[in-house]
Amino acid sequence: MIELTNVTKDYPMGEVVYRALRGVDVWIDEHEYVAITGASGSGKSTLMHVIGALHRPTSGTARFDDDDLGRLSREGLARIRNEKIGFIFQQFYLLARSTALQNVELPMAYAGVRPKERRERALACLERVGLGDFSHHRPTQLSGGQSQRVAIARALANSPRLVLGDEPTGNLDSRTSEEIIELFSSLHDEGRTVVVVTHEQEIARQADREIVLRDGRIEEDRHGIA
Amino acid sequence: MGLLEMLRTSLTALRAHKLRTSLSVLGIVIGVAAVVAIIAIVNGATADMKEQIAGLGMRTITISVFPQAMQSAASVRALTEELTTDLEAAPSVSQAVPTASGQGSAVIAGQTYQVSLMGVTTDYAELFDGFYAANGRFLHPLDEDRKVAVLGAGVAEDYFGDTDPVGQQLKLEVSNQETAFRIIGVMSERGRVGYQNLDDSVYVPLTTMQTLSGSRQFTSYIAQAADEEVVEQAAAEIEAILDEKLATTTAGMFDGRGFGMTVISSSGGRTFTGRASPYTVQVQKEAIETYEESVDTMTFILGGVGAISLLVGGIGIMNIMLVSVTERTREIGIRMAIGGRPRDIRTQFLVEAILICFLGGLLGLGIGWLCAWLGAGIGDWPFVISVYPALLACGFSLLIGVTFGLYPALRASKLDPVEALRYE
Repeated sequence: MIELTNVTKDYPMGEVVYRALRGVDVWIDEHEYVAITGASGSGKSTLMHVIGALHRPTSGTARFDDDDLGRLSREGLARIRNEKIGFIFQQFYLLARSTALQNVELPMAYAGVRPKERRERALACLERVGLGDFSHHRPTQLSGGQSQRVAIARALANSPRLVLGDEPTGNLDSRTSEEIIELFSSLHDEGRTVVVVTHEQEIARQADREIVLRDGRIEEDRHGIA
Repeated sequence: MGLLEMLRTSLTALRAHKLRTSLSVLGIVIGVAAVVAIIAIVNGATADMKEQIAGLGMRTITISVFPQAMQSAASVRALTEELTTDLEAAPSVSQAVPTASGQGSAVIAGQTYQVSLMGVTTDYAELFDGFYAANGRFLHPLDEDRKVAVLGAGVAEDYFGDTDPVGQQLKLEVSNQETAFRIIGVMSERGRVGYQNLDDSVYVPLTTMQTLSGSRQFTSYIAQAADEEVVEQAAAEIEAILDEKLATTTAGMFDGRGFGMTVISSSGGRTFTGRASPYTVQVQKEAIETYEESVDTMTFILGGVGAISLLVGGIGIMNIMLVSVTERTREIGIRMAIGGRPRDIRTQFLVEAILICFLGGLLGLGIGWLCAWLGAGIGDWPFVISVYPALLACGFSLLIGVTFGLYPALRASKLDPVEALRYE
């Protein structure tokens, strides 16, 4: 599903160029549950951005199914993010002025789903994460855990094959974290490919593969830990 | 994302900053209202002026003579009634009527008023459609040298109010000499014709006027061309006659050097520089053209001012859109991360800018029309409502929206999704 071959990623930092990834090879198959861990600055977020079609690699090839992400236009990358990937971020990143329902509807709006179908599917997604009664609440009226559930519902809106989490429990207390971690497991159990960037061992233990990064390189790639 | 969806999203965004949106809209409102009002007012005033000028009749040729500018006593002496006979002899001229105008004081019920006096012949009223004696009668050939007066509708209303002036006495003071006139009629309301308001004059027989002022000269002639088609030709014939009668006599008491004024003879477009022309011949068509030229200049200048204020409004829009893009950087990042294409982001911000401008355009159109309507009421000209200013206002405000919204929208669409998400 995802094939990264000798991927590097450079960021210009003023005069100098910072190399966040220094030749990474990662293959992720369908239905895998992968945790990407490492110290901060190890390049795990950058790796997630490349896998998530948010950034093109500087060199090497990154393939998502049959698409070469390095060669796609910005429009093409946006289409892949819209159709195939569901993002869940540490800060939830919900639109503050929109209701939970509208937030969940948004990816479908960009996909061109008709309003009626969109509404039904968004409600189903909210119910799937246990927030069926909160569809008309705005993010400011929701707790952190509820906000993250809305974000998960939004990530599921277009039934993506890949769910990407970037420190999804980083802003939550331990009890809520556990609920979110369970939700991720269930998403995997339903047949989705799940990739989570985290430094929480709890999540890493749930995953059936852990990729450990260090200084922009893969230090360890452990399979079948679960 | 559909356009309707974009509109709804934009409206939500605009509603979130009501004051800011209102101020941006106001900038466009002022510009569009200015342009619309100017166009509507100028159109109304032009229509009114055209009507007035045309009211004189398209066959009418006005000849104004200036004895002061004449170079010989013989020329001045030529300004007699005989000149009308000469003018009427011209093949394209059907009728020529002399008038002698002057100022006088009228004493009514012990009060003295300044009035405009017109010494006219009996044919005068026939020159204007809808100008007739509404009460009593107009001058008759038998009235020559008699001290009778016909009042314009305005004079009658102003000085006599509800009482019937016909049969009453009117004391007129001309050249320091007070003479009693008998009022024999009141004219219908006719309003302005060309540069003169027919309602504001007191009409007396031409011969009486000449006796009173002690001069047998005329200040103007009004001629009728035989046909609307030959008006210009008639004017040329009249000029030839006047040149012959007035200007070719060389010896004289006036050398003209004392006159520095310039009179533009609108008939031929000739300019007599340094020395004033002793006459002007004006046909109505030319008067309209001359008027339209000056109106065009006015429209251009005023329209320019309106356009500049629109431009300023547009810059305001651009400024506010740039602020909006910066403020909503994170929102842009979120939209991009979940699959919003650069094109979607660009359209969203463009729609927002256009919406502000369109709203401003509609409001400006309404306010502009209101101003034009008020102006028409004050200036007493018709309120001309036309489609063009409406289309112009909408089109122009859309153009401004696109022009000044494009750059901020492009900037938004070019943001990097990850950096936009991290933006604080």
